[in-house]
Amino acid sequence: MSARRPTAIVAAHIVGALALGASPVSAQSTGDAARGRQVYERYCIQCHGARGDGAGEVARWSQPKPRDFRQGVYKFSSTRYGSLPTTADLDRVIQDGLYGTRMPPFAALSTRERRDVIAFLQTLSPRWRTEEPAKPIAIPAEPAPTRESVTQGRELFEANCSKCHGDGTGNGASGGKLVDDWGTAITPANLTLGRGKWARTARDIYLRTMNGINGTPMPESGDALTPEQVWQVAHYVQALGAWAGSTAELRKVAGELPPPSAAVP
Amino acid sequence: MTVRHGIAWLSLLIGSVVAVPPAEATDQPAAGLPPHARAAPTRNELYAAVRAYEASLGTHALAAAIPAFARKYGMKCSACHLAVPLLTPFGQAFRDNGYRMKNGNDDLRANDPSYWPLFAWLWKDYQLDVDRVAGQTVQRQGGFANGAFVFGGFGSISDKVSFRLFPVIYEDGLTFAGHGWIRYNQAFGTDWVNIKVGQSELDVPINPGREYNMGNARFAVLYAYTVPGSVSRFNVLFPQPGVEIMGHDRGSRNRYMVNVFNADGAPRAHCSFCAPGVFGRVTHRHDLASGFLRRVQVGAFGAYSTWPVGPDTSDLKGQRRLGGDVELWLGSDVLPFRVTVMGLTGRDDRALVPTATQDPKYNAAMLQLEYVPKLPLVFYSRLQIIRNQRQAVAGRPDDYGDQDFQLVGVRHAVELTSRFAWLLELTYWRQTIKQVAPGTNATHQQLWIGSHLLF
Repeated sequence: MSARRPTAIVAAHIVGALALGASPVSAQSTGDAARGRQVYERYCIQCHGARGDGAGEVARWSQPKPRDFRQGVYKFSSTRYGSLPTTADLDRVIQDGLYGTRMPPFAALSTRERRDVIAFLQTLSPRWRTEEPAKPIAIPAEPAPTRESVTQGRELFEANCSKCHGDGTGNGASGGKLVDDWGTAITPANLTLGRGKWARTARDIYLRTMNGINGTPMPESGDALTPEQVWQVAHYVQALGAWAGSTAELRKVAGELPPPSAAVP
Repeated sequence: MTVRHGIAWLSLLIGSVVAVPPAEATDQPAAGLPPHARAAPTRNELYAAVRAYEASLGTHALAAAIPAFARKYGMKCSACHLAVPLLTPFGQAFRDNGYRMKNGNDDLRANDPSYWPLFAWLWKDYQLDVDRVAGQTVQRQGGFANGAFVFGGFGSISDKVSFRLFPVIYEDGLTFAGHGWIRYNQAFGTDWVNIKVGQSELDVPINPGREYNMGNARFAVLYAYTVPGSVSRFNVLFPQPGVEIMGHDRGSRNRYMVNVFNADGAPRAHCSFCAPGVFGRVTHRHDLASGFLRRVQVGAFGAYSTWPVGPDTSDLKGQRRLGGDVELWLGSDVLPFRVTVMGLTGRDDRALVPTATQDPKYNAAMLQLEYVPKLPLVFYSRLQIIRNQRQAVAGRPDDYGDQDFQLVGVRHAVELTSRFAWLLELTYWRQTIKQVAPGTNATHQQLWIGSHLLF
């Protein structure tokens, strides 16, 4: 081979690369739904389906069922119950996944990929065109968890939560009868595992307690409990298991308290 | 495919055509050829020498497309593979996590009892091989090659333990024990410390375990290269038995890997760890928020290995390999035009070459282009160049053992589901080995048409 040949080969490859690079690139700073469709088709379609209806190839084997994006109902949100989530809420679920479900964490995706796929998801439901995304609720500063807050939280938990969550393991008297808005039987979370599908910290527990979980029987508590009381519930739940921020001392306090009485005997 | 895509690929094809030497081209010796091959070789001798050289290049490369993962997690192969077998960042993170999604479903105890982390992979291919020496065709043969059946297991059996093992059974009855290892994940509770014991592939750019074509391992010839006459059989292409420690951040944007090993295949006359070596690599990936350039990954790697010479296996001689690579994703995060450039320099102890008068040195480079116009389709092209900088034996021609390699191919997935994949592939590659005899080059060309079935 003559000395010119490697040069010619490299030149041909460079021409190829430049030809591909000649097309204009969108300068949009927000998500691009068209690109987002490509992301969706690579990572999401097998569960959520080609139409975003949650009826993908493996949906039949999935429990809980994949989200039907056409309805615009997202379980985990920082906004009030029933309202659309923020973009940051969707981004968090994409990045962190939903623990214990088929939804894996997509932390390896670039910011742009996540932004684009969110833009695409927002084309799948008319809610995104007719409703303004709500604002996240204000979360007051977390008071330090104490023996008193855990004790108070236990009482509030018994009064408001144990009907479904029982002693924290999800064995409440109503637990076996629950269905979500899509008619699928669901079970209350076992809060002693130290991690929920979405929640990991006391702040997360606060949000879920305050806002509930859209599309499920888990109601919002914003009108029934004060922020201070919700923090107390959060501290008690945190003390039920090895949640992030939970301490052995708090768990000992919770362990010494009598279990909530609404548990199934 | 758009016009610009057509231009791009036409350019690649032109490059490949330009690479084909004219009929009067002459050639010279390849690595490992006996000195007598340089004197008045007959066509048969030349051919035998070329085949011996090719045989020394090793066995089949094994890609790691694992439908068991797709079954376990309900995802398509394309989530982890840009185009099988090339990994996406998501797939890279999955691999770095010890084949775990880290979503609570990795532990076998969390899976349906009917799930087993096993997969099967069959391939069958037609090959047309043409060998040319000094511009003359010395061998042309075509036909269906021996297919193979791979039945193996990969995955995580708990949050802490991952494993990998697969044997390969070829149609000719040869059973090839693929590499296997066990890994302890997140030692000390951090992703930065994962410990693997066993025979594992080294984390080189353009991982040979993730080749496109399953026909043979020559697609990464620069990893397999040994200087002419060397007794050492070490190369970074093959999995090495040892201990690996690797770590990464969330999303595997920053990674490192250190592998302490015993060079695979080294003589073990007096000890069980006779030819120690170490390999290391670091990579950093940066995702750009806007612009045509979507993703950049830079990496550096190095290996120092030893190989015994003479009857006393304690007489170890060293080999050094140092390299760097840059990977660019252009145009799209999901369906990109990917460019990978890699450079490598190697230096061996002269004692590894029996007649050597000086330490041999060589340089190598690789340019790989891949384009995924739509999800189940990938076009790929690879150039590799090996240039000896200093011959082991003074007086040899400067280009003694130099090599050029070109490859173009296309792979299409007819079916790509979470349960199985059926892939069709067409590849053409060409390898030129210089100075197989004085003034004589040898060329091997292959057309490969294959079908893979994975489930």
